[in-house]
Amino acid sequence: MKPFFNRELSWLEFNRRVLMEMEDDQSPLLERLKFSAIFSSNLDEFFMVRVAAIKNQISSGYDEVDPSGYTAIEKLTAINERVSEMVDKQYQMTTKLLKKLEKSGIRIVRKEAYTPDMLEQLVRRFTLDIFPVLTPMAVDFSRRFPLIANKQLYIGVKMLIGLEPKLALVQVPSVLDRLIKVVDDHAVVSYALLEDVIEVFIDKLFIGHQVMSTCQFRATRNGDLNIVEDEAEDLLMVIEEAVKLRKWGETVRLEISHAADAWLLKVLKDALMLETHQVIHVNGILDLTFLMRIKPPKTLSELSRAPYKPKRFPQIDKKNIFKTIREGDVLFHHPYESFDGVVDFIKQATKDPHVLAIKQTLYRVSGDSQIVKSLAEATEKGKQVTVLVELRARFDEENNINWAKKLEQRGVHVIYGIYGLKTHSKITLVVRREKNKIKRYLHLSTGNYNDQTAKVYTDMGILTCRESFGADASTFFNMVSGFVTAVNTNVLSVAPFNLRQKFNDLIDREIHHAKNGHEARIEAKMNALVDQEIIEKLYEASRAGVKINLVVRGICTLVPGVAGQSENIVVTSIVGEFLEHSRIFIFQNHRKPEVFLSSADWMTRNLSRRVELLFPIEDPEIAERIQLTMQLYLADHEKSWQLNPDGSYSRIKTDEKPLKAQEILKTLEYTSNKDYNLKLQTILKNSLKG
Amino acid sequence: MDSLFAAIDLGSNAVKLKIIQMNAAQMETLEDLSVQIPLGDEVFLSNTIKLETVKEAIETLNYFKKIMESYGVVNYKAVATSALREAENSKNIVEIIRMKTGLEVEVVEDTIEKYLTYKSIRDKVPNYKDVRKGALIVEVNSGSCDISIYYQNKLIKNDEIKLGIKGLKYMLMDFENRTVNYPHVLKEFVETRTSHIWPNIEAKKLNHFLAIGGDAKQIKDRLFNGKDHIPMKAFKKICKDALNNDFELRQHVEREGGNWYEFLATLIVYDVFSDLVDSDDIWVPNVSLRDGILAEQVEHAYGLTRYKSFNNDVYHLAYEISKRYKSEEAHFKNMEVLAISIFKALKADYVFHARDEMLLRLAAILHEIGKFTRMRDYLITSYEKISNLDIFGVKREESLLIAHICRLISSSEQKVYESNIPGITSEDQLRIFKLASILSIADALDKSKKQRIEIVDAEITDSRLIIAIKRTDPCVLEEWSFEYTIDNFANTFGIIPELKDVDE
Repeated sequence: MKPFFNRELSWLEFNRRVLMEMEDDQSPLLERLKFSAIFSSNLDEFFMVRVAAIKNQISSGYDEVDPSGYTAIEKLTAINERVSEMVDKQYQMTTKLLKKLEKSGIRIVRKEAYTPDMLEQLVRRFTLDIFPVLTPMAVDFSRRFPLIANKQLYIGVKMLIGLEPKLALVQVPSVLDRLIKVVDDHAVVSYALLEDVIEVFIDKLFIGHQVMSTCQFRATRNGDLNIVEDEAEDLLMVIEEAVKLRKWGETVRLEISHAADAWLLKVLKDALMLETHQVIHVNGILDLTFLMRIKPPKTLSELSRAPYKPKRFPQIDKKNIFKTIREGDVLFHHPYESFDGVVDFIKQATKDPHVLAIKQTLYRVSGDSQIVKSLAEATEKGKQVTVLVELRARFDEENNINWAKKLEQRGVHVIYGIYGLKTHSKITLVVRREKNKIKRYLHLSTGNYNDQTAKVYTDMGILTCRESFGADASTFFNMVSGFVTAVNTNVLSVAPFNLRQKFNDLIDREIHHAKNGHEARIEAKMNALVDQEIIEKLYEASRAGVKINLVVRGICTLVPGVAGQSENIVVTSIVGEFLEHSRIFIFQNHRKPEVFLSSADWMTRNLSRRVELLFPIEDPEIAERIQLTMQLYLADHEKSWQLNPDGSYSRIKTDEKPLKAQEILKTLEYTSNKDYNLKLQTILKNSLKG
Repeated sequence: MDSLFAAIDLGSNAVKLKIIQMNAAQMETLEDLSVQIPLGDEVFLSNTIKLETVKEAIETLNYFKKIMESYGVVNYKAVATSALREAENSKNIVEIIRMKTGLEVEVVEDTIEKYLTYKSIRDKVPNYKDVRKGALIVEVNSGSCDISIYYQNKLIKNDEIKLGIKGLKYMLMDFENRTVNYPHVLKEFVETRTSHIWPNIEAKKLNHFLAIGGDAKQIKDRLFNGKDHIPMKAFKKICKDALNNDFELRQHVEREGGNWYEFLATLIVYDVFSDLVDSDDIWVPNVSLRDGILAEQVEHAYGLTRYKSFNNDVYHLAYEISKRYKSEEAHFKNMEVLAISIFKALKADYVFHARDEMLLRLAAILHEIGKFTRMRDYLITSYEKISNLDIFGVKREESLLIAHICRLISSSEQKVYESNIPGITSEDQLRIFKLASILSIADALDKSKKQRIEIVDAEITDSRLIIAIKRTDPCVLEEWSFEYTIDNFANTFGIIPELKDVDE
């Protein structure tokens, strides 16, 4: 058996777990359908990045075997087989759920089922709202084929001009809502799909010509920006240019209606230079991401879950958050605890006359970020504001460029990170002068400064004013500003400088304990585990007798449960309502456990090619809280999957009382760390009783 | 009082910033960063620093300024050392930096640089008092090699030898073209250059060896995991490998971003000197010019005087110089005491510069060194010698003031200058005249060099400076000499000095 799973196939298995959430009949219907949308959106990104990269390997003649034993061609074949099987499953399940949804009162009406009454309603909508936005393009094959935008729906039209069939294309405008309400006696709410409506009335666009046939299609392009920094004097300009070029990336997938005309299929396939295995015939609705946007009417509210209201952290002083931090470190576990605490930290820093400077890293920010607004305001109040905007956050580049420019215009000192390294760490430093003394306050987190994703991603962050953390934070910002290369930190470990070594040392220490007959255990939670060096170190630890429990939400190329290699390693994965995103690392250290949080996964890119942070939790009650939360994740047998030695995942069979970690954390009230820890201990004890 | 202080050091290899805050009499470091900019390389090759490199330094300094602003730092001192000292275009560079960053950079002389660095040793070395009992301190920097000896709680030697890393580096490269044994050839060269001072060092049986400077720190970090104490055996093993041009060692140094030739040159110098002490290890303490600057700022702001023995190092070294020139110790030490007694009395009514007391003491100690070469008009010879002396902790312009003070002890010289000394600002001329007048009286009161007069008290009353004295023997010569100083003193201070026996 190879010591590593293939990372692409492991990722597909993660997406399968996402898909399987559609089977959770305890969830409302629309919530289950959302997982179909997430599955599709994930798969789009997978094709844009991973499949595109494999295709590049193949076209450049790269035929080396990867650590899992696959060549690029073998990988692509395996991916295509698995994707095809999973997409079939997705459509079967989606169709089944859409039927259930129809019975519950919400109907998606396809064009074949339009009644004369509906057609009458829709022609009015088409004429008034849709037609003016459409731009049909006749294709002249002697010229360059028109740009097919990435992930956009199109109608392919076969026309007869003279005796020759000609191709025309109509883009389904993304500025219009894909769901068009129609009055229908069969349901409380009915929706027609925009692409169907355009297809039905396509003749109106080509008056004087005979439309022979139409089809719906969608292309996916290589979306990875290939940025050459070597000669980049201005990274901002280079990335702006690369974003423009992305729409011209090579096509990697064509999704086309199942019943497409053979001539249309051929011309599109040829024009987009695709091979047969890259064409996916869809027997159903193309691009299911719209399922995310179906909102039930009030009368059918039971079809979706009421939005979760994160709890406000009660201890935070609304007027002086710095006082709260001085009294002790504060842990936020989002989304259970509101992200407002973090926003308040920045807002108060902006307004506080004693604050001299604010420094922050921004990786992905939301469209209407309060934090960004506050930072701009802070400069106007005379504070020195430095923001590191990571322009290269994948698919967020345009958004980041916009923010960077806006912040610069407002007087913020914007920096773009270190040459060749993405800055993925999440840190804010506030410098405050108190009674003639400088005090540094910090926020460190596993997740981005994005108030929108903080509602659905689970992340942990701390507020602290510990001196050693403050000193390290200053060193960190000097380093990302490009002025310091030596990273001599006290408590923070920084990738790519000393983070990998820190992890190696921590694992080695557990190995040492195990070899001396002491209790040795590692518990870690992350999004992905791919790094070969770390995996080999974990195998070494397992062989030495270290018990290792890993909660890896996504890709995991470590093979667990193999005798003589990894029999002491258990890998589980939690997929649920919230996207598990926190990175927690606990090393038992012979009954003196050390708890860390990090922005980094155990991936080579995180440890070697990105600027990441690992920070220890020094407050004993907070450390205990994180350990208990980890126990809760490990005790979750409802939303958890266990990775098998063959690479498949299965639900865990246990006699213990069913427990959903996310559900418990949603309801658990926080008054103090001590009280919270007691509650968690009780829950865990009860669960073990079965 | 503001508790924040910053020090910027524009060195030969790097531009550095350190910010501290005073917290309950403790220095707490807020920032300590170093950006590699090889200002010294260009100076060595062309005597100037290129504009491109200056731009790089300005970019860094602007960043430093931002950091200082982020803490609200107001008290800062920015100094430039050997690279700017030696660069022909240093004045322009200082001005460009001022215009582009608003930072005022002072190009410090090596004597001041040393003084400040040694202040840092005082503050940063845990068993400093023990070190003062017997230690050899070697600092190899880009332009020279500085040797100091602490012995019996005194700094008894501080010499500069022209063995700078930049020069040795190019020498090594040249030797390499001639022989594969090039490290040994350089060692031979260093030995030849330094052998004249070996006996003096060996005789003291010093049991501490301190290596300071950026290059020593790099050796420590690259090869000894940053440990302050390097066992002598381990150090010698590395020296042996380096001398044998060990390929793996060279690869290691270069992989860590070091320059092999600079590394080798540094190591050879330390190797040669480490043979002269009785120490089991080499100590590379974390000391820096920045720390010295900060210590100076803090002492000034808080009115602190720490470690009297350190503050006396300047005088100890002056004593050593004076003794080397065979000055009479009892005489110059007595003159020092007499001059300070008068100075303190005058200080109550007259404004003096903060460093005038030090200049006066040094002038008293050094005034006779000219006698060593010429008895006739020896004060003129002293003037010439002192003008060219590098005195630890004293600026070159201050050495010149001391030289003038010594020269003007002689009343005939006073007549030559009357009220104008060419090349000296009018403010400094006044300082010279005032201090020379005081020193003339002190000289007169020990004219016989038999220390017959002791000043018991000195006080200004009604336009007169009453100097209360005790005498052991008849002091005709002293009284006669004293009378010659009265006019000059009166012209300078507007009061008449008068001797008064305490018995009267």
